[in-house]
Amino acid sequence: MTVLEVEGLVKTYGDAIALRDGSLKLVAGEVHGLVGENGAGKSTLVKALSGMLVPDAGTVVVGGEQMRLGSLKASREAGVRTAFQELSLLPNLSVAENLLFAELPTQFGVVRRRRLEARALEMLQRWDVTDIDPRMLAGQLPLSAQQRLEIVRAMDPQPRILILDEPTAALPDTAWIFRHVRAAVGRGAAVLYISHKLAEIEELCDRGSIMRNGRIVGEFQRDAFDHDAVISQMIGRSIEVAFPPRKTPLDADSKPLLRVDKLVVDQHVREVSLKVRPGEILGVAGLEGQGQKELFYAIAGANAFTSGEVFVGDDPAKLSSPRTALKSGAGITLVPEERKREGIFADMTSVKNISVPVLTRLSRLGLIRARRERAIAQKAGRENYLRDDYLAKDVGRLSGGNQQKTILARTALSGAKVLLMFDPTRGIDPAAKLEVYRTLRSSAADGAAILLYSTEIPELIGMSDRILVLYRGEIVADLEGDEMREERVMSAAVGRRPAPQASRDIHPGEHTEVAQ
Amino acid sequence: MSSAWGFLGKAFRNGTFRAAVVFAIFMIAWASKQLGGLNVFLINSWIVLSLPLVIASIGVTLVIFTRQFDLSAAGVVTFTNVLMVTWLSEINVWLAVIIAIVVGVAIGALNATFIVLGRLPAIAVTLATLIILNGLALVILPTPGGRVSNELIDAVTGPLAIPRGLVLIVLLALAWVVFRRTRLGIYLFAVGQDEEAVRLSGVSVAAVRFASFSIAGGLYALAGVVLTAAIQSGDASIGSSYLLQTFAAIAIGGTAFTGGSGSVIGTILGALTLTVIPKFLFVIGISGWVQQVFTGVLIIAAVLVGAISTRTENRRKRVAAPTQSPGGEPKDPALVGGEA
Repeated sequence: MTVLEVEGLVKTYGDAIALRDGSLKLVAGEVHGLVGENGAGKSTLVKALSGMLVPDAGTVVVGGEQMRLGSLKASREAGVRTAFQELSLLPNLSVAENLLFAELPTQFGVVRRRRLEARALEMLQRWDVTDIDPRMLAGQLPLSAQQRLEIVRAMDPQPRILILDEPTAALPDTAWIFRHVRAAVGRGAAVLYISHKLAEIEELCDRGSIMRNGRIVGEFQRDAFDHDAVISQMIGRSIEVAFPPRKTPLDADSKPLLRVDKLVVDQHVREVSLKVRPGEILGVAGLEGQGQKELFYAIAGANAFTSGEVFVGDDPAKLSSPRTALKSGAGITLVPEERKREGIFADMTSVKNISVPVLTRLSRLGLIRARRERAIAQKAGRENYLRDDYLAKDVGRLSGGNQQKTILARTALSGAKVLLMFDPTRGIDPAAKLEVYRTLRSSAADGAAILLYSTEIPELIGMSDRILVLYRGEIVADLEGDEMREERVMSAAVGRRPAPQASRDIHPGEHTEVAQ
Repeated sequence: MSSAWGFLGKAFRNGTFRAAVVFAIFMIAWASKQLGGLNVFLINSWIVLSLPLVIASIGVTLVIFTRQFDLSAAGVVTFTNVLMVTWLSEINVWLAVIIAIVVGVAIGALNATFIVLGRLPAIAVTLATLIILNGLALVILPTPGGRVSNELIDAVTGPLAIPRGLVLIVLLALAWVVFRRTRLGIYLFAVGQDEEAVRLSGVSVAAVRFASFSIAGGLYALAGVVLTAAIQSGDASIGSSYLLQTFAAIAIGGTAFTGGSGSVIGTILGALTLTVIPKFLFVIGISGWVQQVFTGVLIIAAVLVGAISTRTENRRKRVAAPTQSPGGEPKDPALVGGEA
């Protein structure tokens, strides 16, 4: 019996399409898996079903009735409950208060602590969580305990439709969650189970859907589950782009310009070591949340790290802030993930955005020489394929591609030789992508050491000299030459151990130390 | 010995405790320098003049807990004062007090309507409210004056072995202790900590903010009523000092302006500290302008100590509760912030 039917959900953010056609059927008493790459639209679909966002088009029918979209309350009343990937607990409240937040027991208006704690204890025991004291502050619990709380909160009382978004991201194993999901399904619930881990999907789900580019592109059944077929549908091939080839061979003898030694960032990045030579583009692959962002931001001096060392040339880099990182040796700079929020000054012109790093050089008696500023910005802009007529416009009104070219022009003017490119082609059109690729090639040809992260694996393969794959904060694969194939990258990214013949010997002092 | 230091260190991480220490220091300083020591008369006159600031600051604190701002306190205090000595001076005094408080709640609710439903910035909305109310007060009462009923004056300043103002302050503190344990009390802090999480937990953030602004408005009006009894007259510029003083009281009281934590008791102590400082400086013969410098330095010191203690507290927490790594085994999160 179908309890939930999603038809043609569409969600766009400006010119970026997050969801093109979300269509899905959930059946009572079944676990439905949902898989897809980063940015495939899974989270957007979950948010739409939970009432966190208003879709542009589409319908959701629950139990024969159309659900009002964009309202948390309507979703709840329709019987949809979600355990979110970004946990929704309140760290400064107790476990008990978190579990019963919307229905705190009161007497004469005052919350009855004893009863609250007793009820919370009962609730935890119902889900055989015995190691969490309801009186503790939620924020003081280890992540795995917080994740179980988030799940218990969604499962109790049992909803008609339970959505679990990456529920095992912080859990040490799957026994607990699988047991309870199966029990919930046995009692008639419909479960939507989202995970990067195909092994989990195969073990738990009765059927499932594969998402790519905001669409459901394929379905699978439990008894006919084929890992490789699912992976190939997940990756597909979005847009064919010709990647500009490397013009000169990489000098194999040159000393590395960037050397990262056993970098640890809390639990996100675990002893990552890598080296990038001048002229080299080192690709980093990984599904969302595997530590890539923490790694890039730590090297850029934008976030603190726990331990490890970073060298530029022979000298240790000073990473207390992006400014000191830029001043370390040949200079480190980051092209950040969120262009609009972290990359541009939206209400300033393209010229102003580009000239930021050289303002001191441009000023005389504290005043900025406008003509020279424009000339320099124009030159840097042209080298990055930015058309002259955009220079005087406010960057916030330019397309994503032109915003990115503006950022790249500024990056070039900063003079830094270690470039950390975090998904530089996200949400820009194919023509602009090609121009970004050309810029990367010419920066590398000029001796820059480039660390490139991208959510698009073909892009990494087309641009990188080698590719490191991150999984749970560790480098699990180091691929070069013929090994740089989509299937290889994707298998490593979803946590499949490489087949023995495929694993490469790694020379000491090479890019990685694969922790096996 | 070391455990005594440990206890003291822990206590000092508590903003309310720090506010109590600061207050006690100035109270003792005043008592020791006052010729002939303190007596009931001195205490009473000090408390009565402090009371409006204490009450108004409590109102602002409730709004700050939800990570919002409210600049309208000074306006409501002034407006209430003017109402009490003009339009409301002829009717039964208790009815007048109730009407004044209802008006205060309504002003708070109006603020909330613009801020919560209209999604306008609280600073802009409440600043506008402040200016409008100050203007209205001047229209109603262009020159200071008006009539205050003796019943009201007696009720607040009345002759009693124990000063009535002190009784009221204790009652307010007790009310807070109870309120903190109500649903609304818990939601108030929760909204300040993480709105999104509150919303996802099925509680209306709008309703919580609406309640906080409305209760605050009622408290500002109550402060205006008490002020009217204390100065026994009306004055359309009387409340202006409360704009800055309420925030000063909150800062000294150890409540963070970023919301989600703090205590009303701290605010009460902060407000009392602000009014006891001039008493102390006066008896040792220091002029009014220096008082302001002194108060400013004290605020910076209070906020600084607060910030330092939260930072060390966070560090301590991270060491105390090792975060579990996704792989399963706990990692030591000893914090080394780059080169910093």
